[in-house]
Amino acid sequence: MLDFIVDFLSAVIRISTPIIFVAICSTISSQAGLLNMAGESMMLASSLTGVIFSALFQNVWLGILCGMLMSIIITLILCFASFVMKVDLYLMSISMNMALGGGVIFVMWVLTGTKANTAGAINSLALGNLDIPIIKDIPIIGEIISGQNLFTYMALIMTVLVWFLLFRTKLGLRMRAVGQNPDAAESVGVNVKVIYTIAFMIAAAVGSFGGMYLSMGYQNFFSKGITASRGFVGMAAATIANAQPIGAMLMSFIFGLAYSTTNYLQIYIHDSYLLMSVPFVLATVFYLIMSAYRSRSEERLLKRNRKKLLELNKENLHGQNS
Amino acid sequence: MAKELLRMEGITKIYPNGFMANKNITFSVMENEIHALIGENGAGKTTLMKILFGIEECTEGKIYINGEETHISNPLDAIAKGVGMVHQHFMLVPNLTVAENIVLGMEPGPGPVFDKKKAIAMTREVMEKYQLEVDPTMLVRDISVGQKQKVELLKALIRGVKVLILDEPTAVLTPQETRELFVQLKNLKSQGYGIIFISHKLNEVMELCDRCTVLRHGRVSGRGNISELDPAKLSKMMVEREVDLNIEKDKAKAQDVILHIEKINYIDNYGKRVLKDLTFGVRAGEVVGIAGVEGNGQNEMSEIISGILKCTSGKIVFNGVEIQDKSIKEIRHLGLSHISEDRIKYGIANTLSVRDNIASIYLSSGEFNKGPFLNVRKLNKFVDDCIKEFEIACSGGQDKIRYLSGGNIQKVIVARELSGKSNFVIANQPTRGIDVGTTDLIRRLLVKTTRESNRGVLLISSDLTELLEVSDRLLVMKDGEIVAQFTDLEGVTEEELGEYMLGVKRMSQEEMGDLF
Amino acid sequence: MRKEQKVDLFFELLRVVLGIIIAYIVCLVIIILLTGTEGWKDAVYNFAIGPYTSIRRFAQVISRWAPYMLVGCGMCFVYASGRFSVISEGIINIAPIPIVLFMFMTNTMTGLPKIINLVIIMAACMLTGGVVSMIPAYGREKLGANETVTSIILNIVCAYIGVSAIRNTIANRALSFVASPRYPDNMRFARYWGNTNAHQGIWVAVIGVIVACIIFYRTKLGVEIRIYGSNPVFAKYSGINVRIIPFMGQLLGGLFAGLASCVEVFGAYDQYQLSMLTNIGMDGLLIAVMARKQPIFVPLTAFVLASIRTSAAVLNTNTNIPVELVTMLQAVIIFFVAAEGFLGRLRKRTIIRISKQQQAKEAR
Repeated sequence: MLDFIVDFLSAVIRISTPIIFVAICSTISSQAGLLNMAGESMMLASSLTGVIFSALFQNVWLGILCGMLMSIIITLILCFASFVMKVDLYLMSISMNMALGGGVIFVMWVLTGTKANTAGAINSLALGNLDIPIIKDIPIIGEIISGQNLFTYMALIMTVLVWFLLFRTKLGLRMRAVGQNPDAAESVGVNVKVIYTIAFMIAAAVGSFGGMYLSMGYQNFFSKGITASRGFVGMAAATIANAQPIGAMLMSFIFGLAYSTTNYLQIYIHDSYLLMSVPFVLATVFYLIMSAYRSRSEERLLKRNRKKLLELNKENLHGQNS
Repeated sequence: MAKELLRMEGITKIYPNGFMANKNITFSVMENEIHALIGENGAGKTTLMKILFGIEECTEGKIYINGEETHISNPLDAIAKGVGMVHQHFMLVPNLTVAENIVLGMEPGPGPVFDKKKAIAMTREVMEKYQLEVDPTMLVRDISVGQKQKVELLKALIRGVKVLILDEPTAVLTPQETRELFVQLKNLKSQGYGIIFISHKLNEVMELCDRCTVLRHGRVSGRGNISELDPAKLSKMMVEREVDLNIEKDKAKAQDVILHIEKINYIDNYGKRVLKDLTFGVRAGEVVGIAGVEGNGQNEMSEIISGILKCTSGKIVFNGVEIQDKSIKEIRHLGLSHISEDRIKYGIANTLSVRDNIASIYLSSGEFNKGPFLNVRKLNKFVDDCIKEFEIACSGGQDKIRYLSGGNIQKVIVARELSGKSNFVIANQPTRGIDVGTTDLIRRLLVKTTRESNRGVLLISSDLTELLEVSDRLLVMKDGEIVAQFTDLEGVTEEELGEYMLGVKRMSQEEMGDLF
Repeated sequence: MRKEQKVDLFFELLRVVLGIIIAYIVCLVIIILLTGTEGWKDAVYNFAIGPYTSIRRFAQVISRWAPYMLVGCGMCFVYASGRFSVISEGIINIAPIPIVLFMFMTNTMTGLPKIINLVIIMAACMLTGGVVSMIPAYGREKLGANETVTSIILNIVCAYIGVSAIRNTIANRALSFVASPRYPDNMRFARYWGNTNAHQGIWVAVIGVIVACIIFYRTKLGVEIRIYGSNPVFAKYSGINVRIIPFMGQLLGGLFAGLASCVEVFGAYDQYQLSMLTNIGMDGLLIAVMARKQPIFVPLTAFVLASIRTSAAVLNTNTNIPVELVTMLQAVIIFFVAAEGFLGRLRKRTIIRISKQQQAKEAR
């Protein structure tokens, strides 16, 4: 029984990792005021590129670097199209997702001749796991926490770094200002478009790791459909958590839990397809609930204020009349 | 000898579409001075300040700061050269703290890291220096309007400006907060600052300011030391007569009361009591004009009547039906037309055709419907008739409205609102920013519709000539109440009107007579 | 000023044409690079003219054209009401499910005449499409949830539910992929020209586009939707019921997407088989954008896209180059078509020049 729990929780952490990356990256852009619909693009671009270049240089870190750069380049194109050429950001994001969805398969075909995966043709590398010296010996918890993939630890560290960026740096302060009131930021000399672009670039850098984990973490190949729309689950996690990095990470774990549970349940319940939809159903339901809660609380605040003011004024009215 | 902090000389601004917003304006601010800049909306003061603050470029003219000629290229440059602006609509970030808002753009801290503690310390320092106290750790969304304004002031002061522009600062303040603000401003003045105080409110200007400059139609129409002026002189400077556009009209034969407003009160989201027991009426066949400086409740009144806003208390009877709780659609169906004050924001659908814009209010009336379908032929004919009758310069209903000139867009709106079966029209600033020819046409149409179609018209305008020419009966609104009524407009002068508008004089209930 | 309007129209058309041409050229360049010195002539020929070289291939264009027209019209309605919901993708997958299950689990439809069956099938698909489209709509209008986010995630859910429903009930176990049994002849759109892909559904599509145009331009609802999308405050001030209009726009989008799904599933295929990435919904987005969100242009842009996709299929058959080539270049097209900033300075200068001419003319 205990073994089962350990395995299960380990799996949860494993499965949550890519979602955490995308969720964190989406918090950055959300704080700057823009939803990140291009999470899939960021992941796909880096996923394939990382594989290609890690094979080319036979060095996994160079591969990661190239993957990150590719993600950033794709995002810069997106920024150019939206902020300079004035294409609607969400339209361009969705088009980019479509384009890269097809594009990675095309590139894979050009390089390997197949449309399925790169396993046979490209000899790329994986990052591997890490056993943390003292922790690994702690019973139960040690087995869960230690021995995870390096990417997983990077995800946790990045969460903290992103939190620090947003709430303890000048750039983060400006991003948040731009996200809430771009005019106010402009009035003190902050260039809104530059901030948007920087936010997206950092988001791309973070989100790229999500894609690379999938193709360079445990396994060392890229395959069709490897991201399975995790880009959107991550974005949903960020939005549900109100663009707070720590909350987004926790929400990602909840989604990871959902994914894990459906995986395990597949042994018992025959209908795997319906199960696979559960994380997404959850994402939608949570998102709707949080939106409802937030808009209601704004309404309640407004109503309360108005009531207070009316009472105050009624007193004044009576005071004047008598 | 007082130092001259700022001098704008010969400022002229002509916009690309030919509109001259400022003509040869000269304006200066001294050390230890609060200088009032007065003028109606559209008089040019906003443009002048935009030029000063670097948001716009002047076509001609020079700016001197501390005696040296300079060029201000953008807001950041303006601040660097010592000119700061406290905007009317606050430029604050709601979910950041007061301190964070104040230091935004000049954040303290080593490298990329933001030093929160130092920011709070810096803020406290400035607050003490100028005696403007707000809790620096509170979120901006949780503080009051008066406190938000202090934050705006501090934002400017902490950047070392010497000239402060305050744009309608008391518009959203309670009387108590206004008192506090005046104390703070006088304090700043004594510390050597030059303050430009933009306002409509004559009593505040008289109380607070040292000098004033009055703008009218883009030109300086008067200036002087407040100590040498009295309200009468000031109102004369503010309300000069323009070109005479004589509209011949028969005397009105006013009949039944169409609109009856009784004790309307409205308290806005800031807690201000904008309308105070407002009571009056409009009859069929007459034009009732509402004179008043903008911001005295006219817009709120027109929105409450048409159903866009809900009043806090009171009763409105329109065509015999109580409408204060009815929807916009229901009120329109009862016979109301509305020419709203901001035509681009509320009056048209910018991306659609002239035809779609005209049809908008008739869609649910059944006139042009054949079941769920539109009777396109009937509608097109109606639109063509409108275009012809109102002389709209376009080649047909299918033209996209955004390519029409401002005057023609307004003609589309007027055509739409006057061509239907309504028996009452609210016209809110119907000729603002419009060329002379169209202005004349619209004014004649408003009179015509009362004489020939027996409509009632409620005309809200800041153009006194227009009010005097077009109205049959003229009410003056101040602070949400009716303070004067003129039933015989022969011999009423702009100066007299100005005195009522600016609160210098006020009619008693007997003098006003029956407001219906 | 009519001249300025013409200038704007010219630039918009220019962007659409330029987008398509540039994407096409990039395509050709890539094809040439990939096929090398020997095969490139054939490859280019296949890509450019391929769809029109045989009845069979042309039939594929027609077959694709039908659902494209319908889903494009649907997106026009969604766009017109000012919303950006992409739920049509999910609707394409899930709309036929109820009726497919009904078809094979009961015998009610076996004896009925074909025309009645088709009507039932179309109605069921449209109804399902309408209902599903209301989920993101409700989320947005009543709960303030971004409809793009909910619709994208729901698309995935719809795909899974679709497969699951078929797999657990009526799936034809003999096949290696999940599919329903073959449709009886009286429950599908018959094929034309022998066993090509073109089918009777094309007429449904044509009628659908005409209906869409009528609703869009000539009904009270259509005008209200467009006014609301252009300026919601103005719509409210004009007395339009602004609570219900955004729902209607998305509902119409759902209905048309459902019909598109019906036409595709019951016409181009012999049984219901799920392919998770049909892409028709997303293509509908491109078609609507290319058509500048006007249903009257949808047939044209839908045909262009159908032709391009068939070109890719023909190319694939002959050279093995994947069809994803075209998917990539759709983004290029969207970029050019939607980039208001493209050639923006040239456009501004032209307009200034023209209005100066106009002013000079009027002064005289």
